[in-house]
Amino acid sequence: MKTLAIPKAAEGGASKQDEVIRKQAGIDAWQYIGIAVQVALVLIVAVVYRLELERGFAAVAGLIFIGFLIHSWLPLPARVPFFLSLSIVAIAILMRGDGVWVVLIGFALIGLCHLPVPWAMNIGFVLAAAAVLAVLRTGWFDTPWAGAVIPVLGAIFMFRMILYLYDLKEDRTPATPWQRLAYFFLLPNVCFPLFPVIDYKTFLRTYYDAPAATIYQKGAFWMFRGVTHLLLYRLFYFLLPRAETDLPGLLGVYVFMAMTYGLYLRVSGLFHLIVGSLCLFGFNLPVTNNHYFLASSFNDLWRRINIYWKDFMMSTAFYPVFMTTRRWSMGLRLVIATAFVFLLTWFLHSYQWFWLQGVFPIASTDIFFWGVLGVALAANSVWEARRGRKRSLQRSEWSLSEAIGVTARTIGVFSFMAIIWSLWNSSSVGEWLHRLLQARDSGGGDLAVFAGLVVGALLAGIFVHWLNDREQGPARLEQIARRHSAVVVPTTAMLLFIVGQPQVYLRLGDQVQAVVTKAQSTSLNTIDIRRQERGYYEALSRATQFEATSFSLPTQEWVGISDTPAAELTRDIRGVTLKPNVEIVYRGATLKTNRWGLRDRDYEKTRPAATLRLALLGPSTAMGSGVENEQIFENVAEDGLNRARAGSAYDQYEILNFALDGYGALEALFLARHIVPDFDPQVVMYVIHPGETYRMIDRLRLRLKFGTRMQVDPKEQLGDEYAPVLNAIENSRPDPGSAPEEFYRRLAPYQDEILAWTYQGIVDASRQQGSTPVFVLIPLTDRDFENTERDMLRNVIRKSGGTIIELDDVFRGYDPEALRVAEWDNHPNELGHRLIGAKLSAALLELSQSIGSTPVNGAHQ
Amino acid sequence: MAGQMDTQDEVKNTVRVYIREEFLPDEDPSALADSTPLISSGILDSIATARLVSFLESRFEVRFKASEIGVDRMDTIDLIAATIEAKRE
Repeated sequence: MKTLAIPKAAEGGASKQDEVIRKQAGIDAWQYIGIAVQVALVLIVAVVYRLELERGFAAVAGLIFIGFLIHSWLPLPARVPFFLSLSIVAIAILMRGDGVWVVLIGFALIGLCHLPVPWAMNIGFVLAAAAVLAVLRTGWFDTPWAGAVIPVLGAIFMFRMILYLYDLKEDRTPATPWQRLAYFFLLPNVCFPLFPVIDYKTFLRTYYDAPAATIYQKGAFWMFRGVTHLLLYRLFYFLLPRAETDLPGLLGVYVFMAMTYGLYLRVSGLFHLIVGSLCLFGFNLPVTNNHYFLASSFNDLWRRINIYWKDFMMSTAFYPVFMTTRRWSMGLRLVIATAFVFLLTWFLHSYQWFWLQGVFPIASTDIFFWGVLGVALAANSVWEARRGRKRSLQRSEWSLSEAIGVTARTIGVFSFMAIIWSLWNSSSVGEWLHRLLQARDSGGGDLAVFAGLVVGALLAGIFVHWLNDREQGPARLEQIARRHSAVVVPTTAMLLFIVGQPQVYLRLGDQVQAVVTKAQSTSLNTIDIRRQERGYYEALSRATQFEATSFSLPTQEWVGISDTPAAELTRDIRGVTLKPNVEIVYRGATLKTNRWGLRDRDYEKTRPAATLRLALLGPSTAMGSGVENEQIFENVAEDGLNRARAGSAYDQYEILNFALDGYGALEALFLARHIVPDFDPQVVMYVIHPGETYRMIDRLRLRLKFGTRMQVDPKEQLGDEYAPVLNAIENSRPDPGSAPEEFYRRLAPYQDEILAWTYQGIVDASRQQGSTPVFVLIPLTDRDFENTERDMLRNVIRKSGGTIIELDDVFRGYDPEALRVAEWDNHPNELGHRLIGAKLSAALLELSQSIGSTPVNGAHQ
Repeated sequence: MAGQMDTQDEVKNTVRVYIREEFLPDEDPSALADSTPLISSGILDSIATARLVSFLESRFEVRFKASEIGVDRMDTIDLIAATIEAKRE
């Protein structure tokens, strides 16, 4: 089999280094084919399990594979230009017309660095350009392309430009124009805005610095590791809420925090995938993350986790500060330099989110996290400087005391990181404290189990050290996996691919099916769904809520309804209503209100003759969050009813939409009593989603919280008509300013009672005005009603005398991704609304024939 | 002792002794060669590198720039000696 040698003609006047690269860049064709098969399988697994597909990784994966097939056959001088072209093609495919802006502005920014002026002026020009882009990123000016273009430009330039300019000042490392451009336009960057900070000199130095086969095989192996990290992340992500609900006391708290820390697997998975794919093009970049969960000191952790960031901070912050404080003592220099690194890391973290999301988050949890980690690292640095750290050129000999020490320190560092990481991931310090304080609920048995697990972990760690010493432990296994990665990667990838097929996993039992479907799911877990729902009222930036777990974030336009000019605040329990006759863009769609302040078509207040009028009450889905007015399911249902009215007792149907983002049962009761009767509907429908009771209580918390801010007394907000709710509040004394979970815990004993009373109120209010009360159960795009909740709701509605329409199967057979507004928003999109509208109109048609008499099949009491 | 008086071999020896005493006290002296990777192998982490630089500056009366600290110029005793020699020239 021939070797892919580099054609002589391509060499030109190659330098000695070029000659070394030329020798390294050839590869045996069989090896090349084997690696190509591995890459193909790994990428197929990524697509089958829908890993990171939200931003177009499927297209980039195709380009990576096709590019790899072509790249290795090209003459060496053509390879970097080819890689650059491939990166620009990726931008063109994913961004279409906007891609032109990215490339042009990108080239211009690089050009500014090379203007023949003093370096300080280059810096000034780049800063001026960045300032203009930052202003555009804020959205103060109406530039249609900026929202799509600047985040990608930010992802490309926000850190690498710093390193590039630093090199131009200090080293001026020789590089061709192609290499300079390729350093910025790195193929996967367009779909992965969160990107490892690749050092410029390392990027140049490591280009084919080892045989091509070695680099390519490393790339395939790292991509495979990246995929496994991302799959593990998915499982952790979906198991996380169960740790909170299923495990008691201290154990539950610990497991929850440990799994939250485990969510970092997403970052390490992405970085492995990114760097692995760059290896396929000859860039032999160093390892990005290295067994960070096994760090045995804070400095060790800093050396293992996000190594590229550590190197970036060392070169741009730590050493510059250290070298300018020569007159101070070693300990003080280390402390000052470390403190500066963490201050800068915190700032750059927010700076990064500004470019990617358009917001500059300043969160107490961020400050606390980086502050605590900085102090721990500074203390560790001083300790190591004074006491030293054990280093060895050879394998150290087995020692029980050493094994105990390392294992105990590893458990300690992991636990410490899990605690502060869970804080970083919390919406607030209060939420985190509430979770932490749940450890108080531990009984003696729970504590014994926890202590047993700690001892078990210690013994397991010692055993692993012992095995490793005998070259029979996990370290040996990893060595074998690396050495035989040409076999391990395709075999495991093939296995994952096969198990990922529905024809296979559906036959492997419920457990396997559950694991595989979770591993393939791109939905939010229940914790993030609750946070998302809370966000509508609290108007928090989603970027600050999801930063550690999700990088597919909404833009800053994704604000709560109360933050829009269409909203009008009220002092009653609703808190907010819509102004009449306004038109805004809300969550990517036009939101128009009619003269009555309803997001709906225009209707007369007086019901026309021979018309069946229905009033719709409910939360964001019923209001049509994220879709156009005409696409909302109530309009779809209304049109469906009017098309099918032949033979009906009515000439026309009207559905009036009183729903609003954040409205729940308590708000619906207010509307049913005070607003709806003026419009004289014959049917009052209230829409219910999974999680109804929790949502009702959480809305109550927010109403009271906003009431406190607006200096409205709860009694005024709720009024005497909500006396049972006021009584429950007086009895349980929940603090609206506390963590949501704490507020919920206090009111939980009263929730069933409040729900039953509220539904009864809706039914009674409807009946008093001569309307038929109907409760419509609609699942979320990614979440069905659980049986217990469905049974409870049925029971409560039946007792209240209301009619139920259950649309449980409305999304059955559809991929949740195809139904939602955006990857970060599980509200139904136009298709989802169409499906709901069609089902609802059919059910209502049956119901309309029995208005005033007993219900029929489509609906039941 | 003034830095100018050291030959490159003496520089290497001084650096080797310092690294061995400060960072590898229990190691076999022969295991540390002039070409042994120091930073890329993890023997010298950022703190150790900072301490080494501080020592080199005071011992050889040279000044390092922050950008000179790293694998490119300090990964082996050979490289360190060459860097110091270049600075003294």
